Amino acid sequence: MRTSRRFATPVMVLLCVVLTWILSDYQLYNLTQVGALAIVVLGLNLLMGHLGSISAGHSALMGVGGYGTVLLTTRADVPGPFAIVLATLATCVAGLIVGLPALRIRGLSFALVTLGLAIVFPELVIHFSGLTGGANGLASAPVAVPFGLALTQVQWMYLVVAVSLAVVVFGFLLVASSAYGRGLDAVRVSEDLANSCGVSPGRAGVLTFGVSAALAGFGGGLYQLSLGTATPDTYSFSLSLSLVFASVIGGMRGAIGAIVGAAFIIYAPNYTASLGNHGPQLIYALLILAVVYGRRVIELLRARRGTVDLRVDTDVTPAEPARQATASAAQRS
Amino acid sequence: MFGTRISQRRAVGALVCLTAAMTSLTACRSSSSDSDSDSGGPIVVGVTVPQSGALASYGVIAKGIQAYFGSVNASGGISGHKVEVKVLDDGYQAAQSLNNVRKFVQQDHASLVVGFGAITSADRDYMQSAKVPLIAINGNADMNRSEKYSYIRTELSDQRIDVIADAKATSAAHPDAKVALLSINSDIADTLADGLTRGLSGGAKLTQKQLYPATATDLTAYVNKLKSTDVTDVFINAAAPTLAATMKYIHQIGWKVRVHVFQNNASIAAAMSLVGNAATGAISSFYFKDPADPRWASDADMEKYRDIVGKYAAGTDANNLFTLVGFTTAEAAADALGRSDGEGGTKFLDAWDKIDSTTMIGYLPGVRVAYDPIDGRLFHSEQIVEFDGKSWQPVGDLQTVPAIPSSGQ
Repeated sequence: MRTSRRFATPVMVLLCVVLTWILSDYQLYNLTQVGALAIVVLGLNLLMGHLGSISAGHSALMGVGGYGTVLLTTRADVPGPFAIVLATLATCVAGLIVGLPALRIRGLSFALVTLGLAIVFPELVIHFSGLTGGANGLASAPVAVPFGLALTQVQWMYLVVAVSLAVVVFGFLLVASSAYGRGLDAVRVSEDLANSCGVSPGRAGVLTFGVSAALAGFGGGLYQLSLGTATPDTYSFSLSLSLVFASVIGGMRGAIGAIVGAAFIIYAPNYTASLGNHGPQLIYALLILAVVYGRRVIELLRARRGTVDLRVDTDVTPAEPARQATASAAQRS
Repeated sequence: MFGTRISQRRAVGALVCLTAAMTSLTACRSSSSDSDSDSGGPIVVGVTVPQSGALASYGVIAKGIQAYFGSVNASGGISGHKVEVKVLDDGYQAAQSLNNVRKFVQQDHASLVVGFGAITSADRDYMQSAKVPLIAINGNADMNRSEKYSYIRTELSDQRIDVIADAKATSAAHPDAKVALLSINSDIADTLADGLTRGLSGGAKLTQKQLYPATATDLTAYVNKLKSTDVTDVFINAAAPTLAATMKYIHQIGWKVRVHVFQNNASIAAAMSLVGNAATGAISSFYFKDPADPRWASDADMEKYRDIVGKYAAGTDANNLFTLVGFTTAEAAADALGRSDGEGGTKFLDAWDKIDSTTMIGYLPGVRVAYDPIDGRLFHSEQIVEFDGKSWQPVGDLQTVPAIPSSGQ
């Protein structure tokens, strides 16, 4: 078992690299989109899974990153990598500003603020059509493959996104297991508890929204470069819902779950259309129900067989993050 | 450090399985389509339309296309090739549409792709770079032919042509008409306003423009605002259910204004039948036959259309105008494919650009379907019609409106 654990990560890396030459451009394009969206979902996981705040506005933040990247590459001739970095910083600033209400409001009220952002963004893009290209969209500059590498544009984007995702996953795991991450868990469980541990819920909320926004901008920039043309429809409210959905079905606290969720929203439309007009909604609803109640149903089934004591299992989970947060705060003091 | 080792191992395992499953699924699909592209294999036509979401009702376009090519296949195909229609749902999302056209080109090796609505503008750059023809069912003036997008062709007229015909008739009948435009806030509003400005003459003028957001379905506030002005004619551009509700409201509040609508939204099945007598007097300009219009109940062409839809797309509503739009799109594409020996690319485009017919199924008597290089559109004939409560009745003769180039926007 220890040997297989040791080899799991190198095997994954090798698989990702080898796929570059095995898969067609279209298959790589799909995986690139999965990777870019997974970065956005990771940011959302930090916000929803760890801090406990819901954002319905991440499509707009992705849009700031996406449009920012396209505008910088096409209108200001900024090279792609620098454009993505600048667009990420701009999205982070936008996120910090949007996150300011988190100092005072929480929960659904905060979600409504972000919902407004998602609804307004496409309208703003259309309003400033001279800059953004309006409803017809704005084509991004072709991605150049550097150093004369014998790769297609799609292969290069796939590798860029794969490396970016690996870095973001590593950072996410690092943050989630740090004292800061446990502080976020404490805020999610109880703000009073967080305050007593020296964690300011408001400050943690604004900072986390800024980080989450930066990841949305970063993912949005990569997504946009692989997609080609930026349009207001690309960053509509329904994308926000899809991102929240991806976060939920993948498990809101994990890194791998973010990739699974992102893969679902990219691949599912190819298979759900045949189910009719409301097929996708039906599948989404069934999956959400499975995620929310699936574990409970399995536990009930196992309990009927006498293998699980439900009373013990349900009591332990909610208190665990609080215990870790308290321990972490004690260590810091 | 990162949680339990066992859960990490399981998660990595799950991810490996997921990647393998996804790629093998798509790999299976591509291997079958690779063989399809061999000589003697079918001609692949990709169709991306909304089959889910708010605009799912336009998904019947695909059924119309499948029905027509079904009949073509039944009579031997095109130049010895069967036509395989592949349909994907875009949910009217630009990103998904772009994803779909990539799949058609890169994986299915489609000879041409058909897309619907304003979101097709996002597909243009990719299709141009892939050098695969895209037929966009889109009346936005921005989709008119341009050198930049030489691989893009359109079904439907430039909507300025529709508006100009109606505006000219309005100016002639009511020289002092004060006209308002009530439209969704997108580039199509600019197209319609441009058409009105070009078409109105003498004392008739565009005096009001009310634009509502894409998410709005209740236009009563906009109607009330217009009612408080001296507007005599209102041109309403709204999806069929919203249009029906708005026309009903105008009737309910007793506003005596001449209502002008657009054929794309004002079919009898989708809109006018919902409004009933309150729709009487509505004005529009048509070039399609409305399949639900009693005028065409025993029309030979429309009977043939219904027969083909019934046989090759069983269960599809043949009365839906957009089933007919899909059907006529396939009709034009099949005509061009027949003359390009089933080839896509520039050979197909050259053949498309030579379309010139007055006998195609689905159009009003006398309508000429002919490619005009000025705007790259097939339709420039317009018939002013007025709704009598049951049927669209012609007013005056069929008109021909000259094409407007893309640079004229």
